[in-house]
Amino acid sequence: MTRTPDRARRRTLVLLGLVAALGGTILASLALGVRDIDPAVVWDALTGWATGMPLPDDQDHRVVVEQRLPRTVVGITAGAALALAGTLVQGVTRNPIADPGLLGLNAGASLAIVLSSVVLGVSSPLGFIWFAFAGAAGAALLVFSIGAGRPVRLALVGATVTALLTPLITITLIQSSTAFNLYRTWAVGSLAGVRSAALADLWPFLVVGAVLAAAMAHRMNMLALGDDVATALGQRVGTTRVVSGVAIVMLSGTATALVGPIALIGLAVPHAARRLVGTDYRWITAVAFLLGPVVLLVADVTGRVVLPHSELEAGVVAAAIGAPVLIAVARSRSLAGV
Amino acid sequence: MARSESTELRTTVTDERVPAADRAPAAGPTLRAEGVALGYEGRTVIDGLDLTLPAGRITAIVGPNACGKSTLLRGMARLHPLSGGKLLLGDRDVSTMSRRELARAVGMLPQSSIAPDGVRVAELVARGRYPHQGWFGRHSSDDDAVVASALAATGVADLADRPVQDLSGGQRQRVWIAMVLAQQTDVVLLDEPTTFLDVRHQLDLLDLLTSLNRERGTTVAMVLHELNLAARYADHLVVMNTGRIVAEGDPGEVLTSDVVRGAFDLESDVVPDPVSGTPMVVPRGRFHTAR
Amino acid sequence: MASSPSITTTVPRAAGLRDAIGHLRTARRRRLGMVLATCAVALAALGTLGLMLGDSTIAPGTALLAAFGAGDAGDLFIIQKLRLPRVVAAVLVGAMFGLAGALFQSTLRNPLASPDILGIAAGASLGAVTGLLTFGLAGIAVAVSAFGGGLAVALAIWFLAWRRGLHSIRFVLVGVGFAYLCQAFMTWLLARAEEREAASALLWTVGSVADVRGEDLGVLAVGALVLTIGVAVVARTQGPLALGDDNARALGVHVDAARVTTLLLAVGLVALATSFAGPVAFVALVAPAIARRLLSDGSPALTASTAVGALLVLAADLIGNHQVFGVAAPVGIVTGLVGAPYLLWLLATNERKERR
Repeated sequence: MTRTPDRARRRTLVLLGLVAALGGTILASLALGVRDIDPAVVWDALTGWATGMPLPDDQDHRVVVEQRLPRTVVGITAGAALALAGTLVQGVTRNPIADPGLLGLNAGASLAIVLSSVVLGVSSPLGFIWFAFAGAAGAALLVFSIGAGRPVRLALVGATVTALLTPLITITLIQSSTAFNLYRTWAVGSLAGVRSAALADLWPFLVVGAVLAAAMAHRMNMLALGDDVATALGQRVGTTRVVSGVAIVMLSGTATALVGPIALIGLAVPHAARRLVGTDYRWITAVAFLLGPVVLLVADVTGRVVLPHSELEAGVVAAAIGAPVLIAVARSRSLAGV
Repeated sequence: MARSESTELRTTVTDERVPAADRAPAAGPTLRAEGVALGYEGRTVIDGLDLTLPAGRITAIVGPNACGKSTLLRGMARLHPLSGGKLLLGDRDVSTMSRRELARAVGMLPQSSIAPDGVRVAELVARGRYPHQGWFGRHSSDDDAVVASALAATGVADLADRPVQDLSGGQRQRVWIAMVLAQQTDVVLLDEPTTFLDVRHQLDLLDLLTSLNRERGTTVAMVLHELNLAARYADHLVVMNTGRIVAEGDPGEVLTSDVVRGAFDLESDVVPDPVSGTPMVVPRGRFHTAR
Repeated sequence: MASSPSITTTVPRAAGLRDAIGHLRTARRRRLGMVLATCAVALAALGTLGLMLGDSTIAPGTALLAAFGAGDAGDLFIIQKLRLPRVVAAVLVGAMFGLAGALFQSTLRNPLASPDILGIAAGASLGAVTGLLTFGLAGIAVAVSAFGGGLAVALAIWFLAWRRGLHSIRFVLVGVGFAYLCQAFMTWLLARAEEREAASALLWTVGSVADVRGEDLGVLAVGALVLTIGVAVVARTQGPLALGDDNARALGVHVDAARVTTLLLAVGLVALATSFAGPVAFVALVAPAIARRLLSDGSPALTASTAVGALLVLAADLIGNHQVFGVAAPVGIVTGLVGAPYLLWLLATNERKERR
């Protein structure tokens, strides 16, 4: 019990550190890239934009306000959404290897996008967002209805659904080069391009999803003890699952529609959060909410600067960060808990 | 050899209580641990322990949870690598034997056994023939005879064609023991074979092991939780605590209130078992004491 | 068990019981024989169909004669150079994936372990796509780089999952991680490439037996033969291994050595088949599941899985090649569509059984 003040201080420090890290990565995301911009200029551009001054005829100012600011905002929201969704998936399945991608949600969204482009001729991110959303929801429904309750099995059902949907995606892509070009640029997972317009439409989903995730955090703590214990403690387990499922689809469906299927962010971030603040889901959720944007922005900025004349998309860098985390989890001694 | 054994079994298994004097002589050599050390990932459980399993006798190992009794048994079957000391089978160092050679001399029924989905009783028991078979694992009619004998000895012959997963806990445990019997070893080690069985099935199982021992001279060693059954069925009782043997020998001499207190941190009275005359431990708790 | 007998009550005469056990064993073998024979007949029928059908339909008798080298030059060319290699490739590739899947599943004691999920197929795809798009390779060089990719991923999984022995769950989890990593890099390569090249690379990742002929087919056949002989040697350890590591050790199996050898052979089969035909989806997962269900005797079903795998790929290739779904589809698409729903059904019914 004497450790409690220590732990509280540690958690507060972690949160403060993350806020600082987020500030730093936001600044880096605004300043770094093919053209490096002085932080003072970034500040001028931002304050100018915030006070509604007309944009001066300055290349740096334009880059900051018109390209990097929207990109950074998309990165923050998508990162937070993916991390929250991952935390929820792991909590609700009690499975430390679950993430929205592993559950087939990305494949569902991909198929819906491809089909909407081929069948209905949809070609703009704004247009196919709703389809991505529906696809993710459909896949989630299928996976949860078959795999619920058994941790390892749920992941495998997700993989099977992915394997069922992937050929359908491929067969469509083979026949339509427009769909193929649209798909391959989307599927790699990137923050580039003007997607902030889509964000203007989608933000209500993210807000509702985040609020639900926050509300579920306490219930996750009881669910972690098992369905029977949670029920004995007075929780309606079924309701928790359904509400969490809705939040997962809202968060990860929106994020996937915005930035593409960015693999493993939803997996890596909750694990890192658990290492930082322990097993209390209220703290894990708070940390994931801050850490998700940090990781996605770091992945994006790294991708911008690592190659001399071109960019490495955030999705690839994020996978390169996430896979080692999964492997570390698999190697840890507490694997028996899976 | 297999065939003669099966007939011998059929004719002699008819009496449940063969008098001790009529015991078959020890079928094989003595298994002995000398100064063995065993542990998990840097944590030492047992350090420098000596134990002899008397040939042709039943040995029961008892002790509180986590005292290292299962680890010791697993070590003696070479399921767990020794980090020190050696095992001797007769006068041969076990480390000079191949796994197959050892598997023809020492059988072991571990705690966790998985029956593959859909496997039938006869097929599962036949897998006990593995150490006796050649490169491509073909079964011969000698193998059939041994399997039949093992099924008969454990009373599950009627179930030969049933899927193992459909059986009750007691039946399943008999099937696993039949598999170990089909291995035809002179030494049989069992890790908590009576766990999850009701009292009736526990007795059945221990009777079965006793008749095996009496009729074939098989050396039996098992980890047991139930002290009174251990005292009743064992010729040789080993009491362990924190990786050491605190007492061993004839149950009548070994099992005293002092030993129980030392090993289990438990106050008890030890009285003669009204059925067998062996010691019976009557534990004292905080309540319900008449005296 | 309610009226639990003493050990003596139900002992029939020993000779009778021995014969009964023998009969059970024979019955099991006969069932396996039936499954294999059925597969063989179906393979022969579908193979003949594969030889007959195409741009010009050839009568079954003529087609079979041409397959053995008799007939007019035109038929000989069509059959021997075009259709026969494709049929043989489908059978070989299917058999290899089926056998490899059965080995993975029995030795990892997980009915769902397969190269599709463990990232080995993804590694081979990444190897091939890298070869095609980054280094501009073609032909056998692509096969070699696919082989290298699959093998590299398998070894990496191994190295990382090894912790005082090879534990099944660790192997599966690390494998899933690699599947995602390889997938991400492959998508990235596809996004950067020119459209035509990317489209052909995409096709490669689906898996097809259309272009395996001549020398390639010879290499594939010899490799399959060598690896299968290896499998025959380790096959007998699979029965004891299925009972758990402890039981297998007690029965005299060198568990780690047996598992390592088995996995090496399985990885070899997958890498070889994938390097020529691409990662034909789901055969390695579904064929053993079907085979085990047909035998339902708790055995690893190695031979039956091999036969079912061959049948599955040959049938899928016929369906895909002859536009049953409206378009000419490479075999990998059809196996995925046939395999995944079946597996989902399997998972759903298994779940019910466990809840009961």
